[in-house]
Parts: sequence; C-alpha cells; structure tokens
Amino acid sequence: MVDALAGIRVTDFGHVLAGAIPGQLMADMGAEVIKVETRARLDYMRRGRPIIGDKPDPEQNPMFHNVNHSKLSISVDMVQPKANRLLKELIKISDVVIENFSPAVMGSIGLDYPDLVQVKPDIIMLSMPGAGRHGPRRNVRTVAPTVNSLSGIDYLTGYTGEQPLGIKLIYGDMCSALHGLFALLTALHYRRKTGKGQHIDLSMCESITVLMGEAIMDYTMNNRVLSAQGNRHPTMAPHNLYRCQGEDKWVAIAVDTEEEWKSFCQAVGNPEWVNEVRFSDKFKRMNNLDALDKHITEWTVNYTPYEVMDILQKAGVAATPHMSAADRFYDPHYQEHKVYVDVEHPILGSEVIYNQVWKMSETPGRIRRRAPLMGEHNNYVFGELLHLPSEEIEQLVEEKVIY
Amino acid sequence: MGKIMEAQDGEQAWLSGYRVLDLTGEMGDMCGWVLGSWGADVIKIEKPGGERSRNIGPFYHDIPDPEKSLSWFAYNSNKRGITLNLESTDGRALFRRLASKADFVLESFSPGYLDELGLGYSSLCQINQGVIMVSVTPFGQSGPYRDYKGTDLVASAMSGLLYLSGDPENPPVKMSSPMAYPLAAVDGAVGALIALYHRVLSGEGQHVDVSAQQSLAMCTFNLVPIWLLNGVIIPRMGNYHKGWHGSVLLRKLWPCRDGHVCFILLGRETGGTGNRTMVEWMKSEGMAEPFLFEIDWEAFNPRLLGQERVQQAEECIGRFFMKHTMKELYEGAIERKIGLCPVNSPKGIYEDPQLEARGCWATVEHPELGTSLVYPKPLVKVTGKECDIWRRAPLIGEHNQEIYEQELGLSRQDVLCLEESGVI
Repeated sequence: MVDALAGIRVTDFGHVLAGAIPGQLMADMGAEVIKVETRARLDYMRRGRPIIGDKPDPEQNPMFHNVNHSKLSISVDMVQPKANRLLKELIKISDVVIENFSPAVMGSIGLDYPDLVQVKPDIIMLSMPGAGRHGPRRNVRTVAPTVNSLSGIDYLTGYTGEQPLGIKLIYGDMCSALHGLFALLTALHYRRKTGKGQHIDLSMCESITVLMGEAIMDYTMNNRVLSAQGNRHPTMAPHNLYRCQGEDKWVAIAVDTEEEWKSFCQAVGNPEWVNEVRFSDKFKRMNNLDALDKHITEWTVNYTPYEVMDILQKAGVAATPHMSAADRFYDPHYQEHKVYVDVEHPILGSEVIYNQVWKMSETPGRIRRRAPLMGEHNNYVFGELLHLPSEEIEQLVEEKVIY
Repeated sequence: MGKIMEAQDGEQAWLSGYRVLDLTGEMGDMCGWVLGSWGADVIKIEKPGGERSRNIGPFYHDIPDPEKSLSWFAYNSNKRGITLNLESTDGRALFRRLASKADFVLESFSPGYLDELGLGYSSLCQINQGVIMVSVTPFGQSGPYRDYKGTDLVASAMSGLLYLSGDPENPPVKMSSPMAYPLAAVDGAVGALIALYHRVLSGEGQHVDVSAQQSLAMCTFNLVPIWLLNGVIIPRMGNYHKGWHGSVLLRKLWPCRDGHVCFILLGRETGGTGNRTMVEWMKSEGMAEPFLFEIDWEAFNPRLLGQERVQQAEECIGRFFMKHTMKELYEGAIERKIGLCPVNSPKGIYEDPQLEARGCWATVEHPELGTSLVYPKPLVKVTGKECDIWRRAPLIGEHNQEIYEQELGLSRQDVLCLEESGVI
C-alpha cells in the first residue's frame, strides 16, 4: 500500500481534540507523527474515570485512542531545561511542529517559532489556540464548548424565536483540525517549491466562524442579525425532523422542488390535506410550516424512521433516520463503509475506533497502529532517532526529564 | 497551468499555478473556495443560466436574484466562472479539453452521473493521468444509500450530530446554516492536497471520495465508545451539558443582561481554578453566597457534589450574569483566566475586536452593484503573507470569453454558435 505522506516527520504537541486530530490524520496517511506528552501534565483526553479497575489510568480513555492512533509517543516533562535540548534535537529532524497551547506556552519552554528556526530553518509550525496567537483577546481561555459560542455557531442553533441552545459536540474542534491540516499541507507544498518554512497562526474561533459566511454577510450587507431558525431552511419545505414510532425516534425529511413535493404527496398516500390550498406551492408551504409539520407527523408516527426512509427514498425524496450512536453502529451504510473498526488495545482489549473519513483510490491511508501508550516510543525516538546512549536515556528517566 | 496569483508583497501564493475545475453545487462550494484562497486558479463551471445554488437566500438587500445570493458570494469568491452544458456532446468535448490540463476536478453530482456522461474519474485519468478528482456527496460513492437523495439536514441527522442539540421533548435541532456540507468540502480540500503530495512523487492522480454524512459523523465519534462501554445513549438536554460519565447536568448557555454567555462548572483541572476565581469575582461585587466558599473548587467534582448543590451554585452564578453584559463578562473572564465566552451573534462576531485586529474582514468591490461589500476573509495567518480574497464571486458566464476564446482558442463565431445551441 502506498502512503501519501511517507517521509514526513511531525513533532506533535497537539492535545485534547482539535490539536490532536491533524497529527492523527497525517499519521494515518503515512507521516511519522511523534506525540510529545508528559505525566507531569496529562493530556486531558488521557484523564477520566477508569473502565477497568478503580484507579485512574492514563491508558484507559477511548476518546484518547480515537484521536491519537497511528502516532508514536514520547514522554518528556517539557518545562525541564534538559527537555528543551532533547526536543530541539527532535525538531531538527522534523518537518512539522503542531501545538495548540495558550499563546505564551511555547515561548516559555523555549520552543516558539523563532527558537525552532534556529535549529531547523525550514520548519513548518502550526499553532492553533482558541483565538489565535495575536490580537487583544488572544489569551482567552477556551474549551470545546466555549469556542463554539465564541465563533457564533451556538447562537445559530435553537428553536425559532427562542433562546440559543448550541451545538453539543466537537464540531468546532473538527473544523479547526481540518483547516489546520489544510494549511499544513499547503505549507508543505510551498516548502517543496521554495525551500521556505512557515509559522501558521490558526484561530480555532475563526476556523468555525468562516463556515457561517452567509449569516455574517446578512449582517454586513443587510444589517440583519440571523438568529436560530430551528430546522427551517430558506428554500425548502417541508424541512424538519419528524417524530416516529418508538421512544425518541425521529426522521429527517427535506423537500426541495415541486416535483419532489408531488412524489412526497404520493408516497404518503395522497391524504386530503396535501391538496389544501395553503400547501399548494412552496411559498404557501413556507408560510404554513407549523400546520404542514403537524400533518406530516401524523403520518410519520405510524412508522419507524427506517420505514419512512425506505418509503420516501423510493419516491426520490431526501429522508434519513436521525441516528443515535447505537443506530449508527448497526446501520448497513455505516457498516459497509467500515466507519467503526475494531482495534486491539493492550489494556482495554478490542475497542471501536472511528475510521478514516476519506476514500482515496490510490493512497487510502489506514489506522496503522493503535494509540500509543504514554512514552511507548521513548527508546526508539531517543535511542534510534537521536542516538542517545542508553545510559543517558536512563539518566534522563531518573531525573524525570523523560517522564 | 493555472493563472499565477500574487500576494500583495509580490510573492506567489502557495497554491498558485494549480488549475481547479469546480463543478460542485452548494455541497462543495467551500472546497474550491479554500483552494482558491491559497491562490489556486479555480474555474467554477455552471450549467447555462447558472447554478441552482444561486437561488439560496439570504440575498443582497433581500432582492432574490441569482447574482445576489449571499452564500454564492461567500463561497465562490476567488473563482472565475464559465457556463457549460455537460449533457451536450460539444459541452463534453470542451470539458475534456479543460480537464486534460487541470490539476483538480471537484464535483458533487449524484454518484455515477459523470460516469454516464463519460466524464467520471476512470475516463478523465485516461486523458490526464495526474488529474485529482474530488467528489463530495451526501452519502459517498459506495454503500447501500449512495443513490439516496440527501440534503444538509438529512446528512446531519444521519451523522448523529443533532442527537444532543435541542430540548428533550422537542425535535433535535440543527445549526441554521449548512453544517455537514462545509465540513465535507474542507475534508475534500484536505484530501485533494494529500493526493497532490502523492502525485508529485508518483505522477499519478486519484479519486477522493468524501461523504458529508461521514465527515460530520466524525464529530460524534466519542458517543459510540460511551454507548458501547456504559450502555448509555446521552439524551438531548437543552441548554445543559453532560460529561463523558455524566450523572450531573451542568448549565452551558446562560442569559445575561444583553444576550447569552457560555460557561460550564467543569470539575477539577479543567474548571476548578476558574470556578474559584469566578466565585471571588462574584464576592467582590457582593453577590457570592457563603455556601460557595464551602466548596473546595480545586478538588471540585460535580458528580460528588450532586445535582442539587450544583444547581444551587448555578442559580447564584446565573444571578450574577444577569447583572452584567456579555462584554463585561467576557473581558472580566479573560483578565481572570476564566473559561467564559459570549454567545456571539453574527453582529457580535463582526464587532469582535479580536477578529478586527486579526484582519478577518475584507472589502470586496462589486462594480455591478456599484458598491463594495464586507466579506469574512479566509482565515489563516502565516509568516510573511496570508491567504486572501483575490476577486468577488463570478457573474453567470462572466469568464466565458476569457476561457473559451483566449485560453482554448475558439473564435468569437464558435462561441456565439455554442451559446445559441445552449452549450455555454
């Protein structure tokens, strides 16, 4: 199998989610990604309640395993002066450095971009703090939920006319991770052409905000503040999630063209209400959404979400079940795409890991190994890559520099 | 070879010289937009009369017009635009000529549509071995649902991302702007560059297949282990947040004097210090009830404190927030290193001094509207230069002459003929 990114080495300080994901995607595609972590300050994703036994154990959080597979791990207490030299040696033989600390951290451990170019002039460094490395509010403290609020997507999520409810999952982290990775790959191309390295300053907040172009332009051009619209769409009706048979079961239905509306009416059995004047064209349906949704629900509650999907998709109407974790795990489409795969872990045994998002015809990428144990590759990195004699490595372990 | 884009300092933009043919609709607009922001030469190819996504509102000054759609403006800047009917024989021949020199072809048709026209990846790689095709579709190119109709809502529902958004008794709710498509489009752009990296070494292109539903589902990866290990399906909880082992509900969005803020009473390492500082801040304004000082915030664990006590603390904090504006709370939080943010509306974002200071807005001329408009700028800052907006989104067929006559060498007569027969 061909690896698209073979030969690229990444020193990866990225932690939690947004910071960990770009390195993981590169590792799956063949880059050698060395995660730098330490017992002195555990990656948040290594914390959490133990699954086996009752003692906290950094090796037991499946969330960590889902965003750090295919990487190697070294454990170094970065704040120790001796660690600085080790890390610089590693960066000297790396192409990319990834970090998502608060803006001042890399400087405080002597590893900010100006320090790095001293040892590796064409290094590409990706920094991705919550609000960016520069600017008056760069020091804002962010966690995944707050950055969603800061970026504007929380405000746009809720029922029409009610208070915002917000996004609950790691949408913002994923946006940042992908934009960060895109910037990294672009910089690698540019370096190949020109020999120049880069410092990329990515603000998590901006990488989410940029997805809301029309909402922002609605304000800058029309002076209107778009607020949450529930599941309404500017040009589709019906367009909502509808209750189905079973506990908290829903199906998403979206009807766009008049042709689709006709198919929809037929598929639901042409009941009398579909012929009412107030639903006779899209404009009228848009103005009678509540009544429309009520009628549709009267139909959907008689079926399971899958039954509704089958009936409507056969008629050429967009519909899918609203899927819980369990639904996704058992869904035939997810299964055929091998979205969730079993990976063996030495402590947790066989566990489920989210697979690659791309299907690439020539360089498919793959989960090359389970997430590393803390410091699992200390000997490889310090011994084989950096040629430190084993006595010195032992000494550093004793001094808790390698820790 | 694509057109060379130069940054203001005269240096070439990072992706300049690469030619992108963008056949996508709203689903994939952002893929070409991201590539274009870094200087790739992106040509949007629309069907004669214009792409359907030009009809999606909101519109400039609320005038529904295919030349005034704001989402079209937002994600088609940096592109040139031509029209071409791929379903005509001449149209296909012209497309093949363009594709023979292109680096990337982006598309979001139903799976199999381009193959039927003889323009799928397997045909294009015959005439251009290095071409990289990116397909962004709701459900991907394979699997039982590949031919199903999809929209952003439908792909989002299937991804599971809506599962936790909304009230328990009401329908799950999505973000009121596209959420699955833009993420999939950026996935497509990342895949395109990985493929380009491979092409430099091997000379061969490839087909990158992105499913919007699967791109978005990656944001929910954590829910599957939670379910498998604990047997728990976390339900929707309105404004509240529940942790990984969650037995206690924690408030996430709070009303304040002029809007909402986001703050969570997180435990120990993540929240502890910030929580204590918050209580001290409240005390300095005489708003901290004594029981808040009985809690050891450094060791704070919501589960051990219990729902009732957490709720008491939250009520007290909520009263404090109601006395303040978003700005006061945000600035106070930055100063005190508390993890609190405003729930920014589009207006709040536009007025955010951080974004202003980082040059996040571009003024782009629209001569046909007789004005300049403010756009959100592509987002990454780099040493030396940055990605930028080079040009506004194209009008329908704006660059037909430039591409067909000057580049492909058709005569004016040929072009008129093709126009008349509905090819362009």
